[in-house]
Amino acid sequence: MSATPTGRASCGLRAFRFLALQQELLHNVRMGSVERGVAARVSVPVTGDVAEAVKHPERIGLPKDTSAAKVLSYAASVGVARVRQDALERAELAAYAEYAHDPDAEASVLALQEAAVAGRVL
Amino acid sequence: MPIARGTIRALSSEDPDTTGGLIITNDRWNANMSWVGVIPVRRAVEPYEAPYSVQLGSGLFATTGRIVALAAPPHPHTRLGPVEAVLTADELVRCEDALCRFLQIPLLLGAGTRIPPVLGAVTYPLWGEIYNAEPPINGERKRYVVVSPNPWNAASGSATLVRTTSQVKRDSAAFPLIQGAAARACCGEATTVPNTAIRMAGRDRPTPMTTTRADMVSIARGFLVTHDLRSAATRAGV
Repeated sequence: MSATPTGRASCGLRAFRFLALQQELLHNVRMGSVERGVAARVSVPVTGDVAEAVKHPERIGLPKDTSAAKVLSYAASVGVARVRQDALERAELAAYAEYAHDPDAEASVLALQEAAVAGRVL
Repeated sequence: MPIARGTIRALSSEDPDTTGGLIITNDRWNANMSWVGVIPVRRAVEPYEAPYSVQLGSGLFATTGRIVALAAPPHPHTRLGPVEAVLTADELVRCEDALCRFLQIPLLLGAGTRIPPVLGAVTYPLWGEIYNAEPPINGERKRYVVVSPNPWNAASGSATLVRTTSQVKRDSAAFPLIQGAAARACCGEATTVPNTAIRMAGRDRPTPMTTTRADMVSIARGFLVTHDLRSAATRAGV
């Protein structure tokens, strides 16, 4: 501060430092709040079947007195697992489709089927 | 009627003891492929197949050691007929557990992979080895990995094979990469054939002649998908 040649410059530098500090504080606060929000709390509209499940947890296999938070947490985890499973199943189906075009696949299955029958495996 | 896992269909067979076939491949497979995995259902079992067989409520036995892939209706060469029975949840669980043991999944996926023991003089196909088998397909003999345990191969005179292919490029657990990524195993095709159909002479063996332990672990993971054995593996603690 003492090295500033004029009052105006000194004032500008102070303002700059204040703004920089404010930015840093805001950044830290925002980062913290975002992390907490993603990990534990978000505000989302709850409608339809999910709202119904909150009112009647027993209809989705939970005890009748389960809290709304626990019902929603359970529903969200089941939903995410289902979406992930869907993605895996799509990949699996794509592999099946490619395999069905393997020119040797059907011939091999039929040949081994008859070998199994001839050998009294079945 | 769709081919559904856990149902028993009539099965046209040369063996008078075989009465039906239990569909065991997963229903995504069954809905999309022209062949399905089947566990023969028989009136009686040999002593050596008792550990891998399940007695159903009807008194019949699901013999997982004889697992085969069969052409599914309406394929002209299908041997499967109409649905004759539906397994109870408990029966299906016991069949899954027996198949899981037969395919050595607890040994392969458990802590510290173990290899099935070799019994006596090796006059039978060995687990984890690669063989050519009869008959030739489209003019050439195909390579197959033996996935049945050695005691079974020695006692039953048959072995369960999984074909390898380089045609499938898409990455999927159902077609795991083996042999240093040179080929994939077609786990959904697992079929038991008499040892006489397998060319065991050294001069008839392909190169490489064997898989690695990691390859067999990958094949075991493939079975979890194609034959829907994930729950059975969990029950087995792996």
